[in-house]
Amino acid sequence: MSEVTRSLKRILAHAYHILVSARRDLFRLFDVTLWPLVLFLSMTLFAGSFTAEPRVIGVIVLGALGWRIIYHFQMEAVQLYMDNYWMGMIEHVMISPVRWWEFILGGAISAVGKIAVIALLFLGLGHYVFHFTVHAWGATLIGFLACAACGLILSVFSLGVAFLKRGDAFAFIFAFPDAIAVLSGVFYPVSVFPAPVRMLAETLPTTHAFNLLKATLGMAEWNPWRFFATLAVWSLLAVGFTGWALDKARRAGKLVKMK
Amino acid sequence: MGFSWVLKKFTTWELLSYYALLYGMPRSRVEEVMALAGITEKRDAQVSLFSSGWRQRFFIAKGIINRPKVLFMDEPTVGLDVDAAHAVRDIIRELNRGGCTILLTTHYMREAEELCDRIALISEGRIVAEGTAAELKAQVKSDEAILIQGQLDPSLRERLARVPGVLGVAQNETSCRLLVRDHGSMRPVLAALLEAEALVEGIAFDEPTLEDVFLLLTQKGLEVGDE
Repeated sequence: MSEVTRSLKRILAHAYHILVSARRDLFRLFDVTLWPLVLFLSMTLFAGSFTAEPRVIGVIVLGALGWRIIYHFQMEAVQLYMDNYWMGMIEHVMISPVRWWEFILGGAISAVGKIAVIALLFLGLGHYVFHFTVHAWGATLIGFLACAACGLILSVFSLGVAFLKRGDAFAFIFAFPDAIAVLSGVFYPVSVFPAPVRMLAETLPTTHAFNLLKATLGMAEWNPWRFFATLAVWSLLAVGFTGWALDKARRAGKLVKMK
Repeated sequence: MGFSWVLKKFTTWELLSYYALLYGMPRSRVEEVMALAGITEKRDAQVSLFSSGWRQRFFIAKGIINRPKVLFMDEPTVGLDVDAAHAVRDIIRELNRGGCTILLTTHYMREAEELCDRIALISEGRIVAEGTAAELKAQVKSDEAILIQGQLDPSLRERLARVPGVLGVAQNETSCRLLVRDHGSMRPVLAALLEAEALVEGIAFDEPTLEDVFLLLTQKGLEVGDE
């Protein structure tokens, strides 16, 4: 068997792990069903009670879905790594053939499965309860792909943090998306921020990904060059950081089995 | 967040399938290792619900899923009941017969004697003797062991250790085991027991075991070739 085939099988193993976990564990199942629905319905019912403007509902539906895309593409790989770490499993990157980017890709595959469920819920409810319909499917799908790319970058960063901080990593990993959600203008334009904060927001690829989603509703302008430029820079930073974190953790013996 | 317990909620089949994929093994290998480890009946059971015996069998199945040439087993039967320990030893024999080299660590000398082709005795981090069971027993130049049972004073140990022909003594409250040079050592041992007015309930010859060898070597600080 070639190394490429072995690598593909390892990636599929990770995806299998996550999908079976969602089936076997209520906490993870609710992460794909109940909690997204609670947040979604809270916002849409609130907005719907104040305004009949369909684009407001549209921003919430697309924004909430875009945000779940980022969340799942970020969390799956880290969850997978920490499962193995806490169980003291031999698959650890220190002493096994598993590579860190295989965790990322396996997580991405399972994220696609979970997002499909969430998208069905959000778009279905958005359509049948609030009469929202996606008109520009091409641009909207590109917007979702943009969010997925941002989620992958976050997952690479988060994995690096997990290598260094191990059990304490989750405090940081959950803080990243929360901070970024506020700065990225998921449901509002970043022009509401004072100038220094707005400049910071403009450096994030997530801001431009959500701009694209809002642009499909005529509520923002999208600059593809800014998106790709910020994506490229953050990708390089993420890979560089995680490569450094892995090396540092390996040298410090932080990747061995720990009880 | 409690992630550590998620994998335990998997069934045997699911968890072994995961490992099979990780190691690039075909799905059929899962059925093979379940049969070898004797856990096929637990195929659809959650591993979190396994007793220690079943869990040990599961870990063996997991350990051999990628057909290792060398397997390290660290005290695989510790904490297991008699049946479970027996089953695990059978699996170990079967694996070895199948060509797997097994490095087994154990505190049960009888288990080492039963399973191992070569044994290294380790005391305080150093190998004090190495060889087959027969070679190890031969090193201490003892043909017999004497087992004494009764209400035995702790001071008896020292007295018996000074008896000519006695190579080593191991004692607890109700029994004492002497490693002796040969049959002729019984007479002086009996004399020492009478002199000590020991309350002996039974006394018999026994074959020296690996445990005797270990105790003797570690008590005297002996290594190979010292005697």
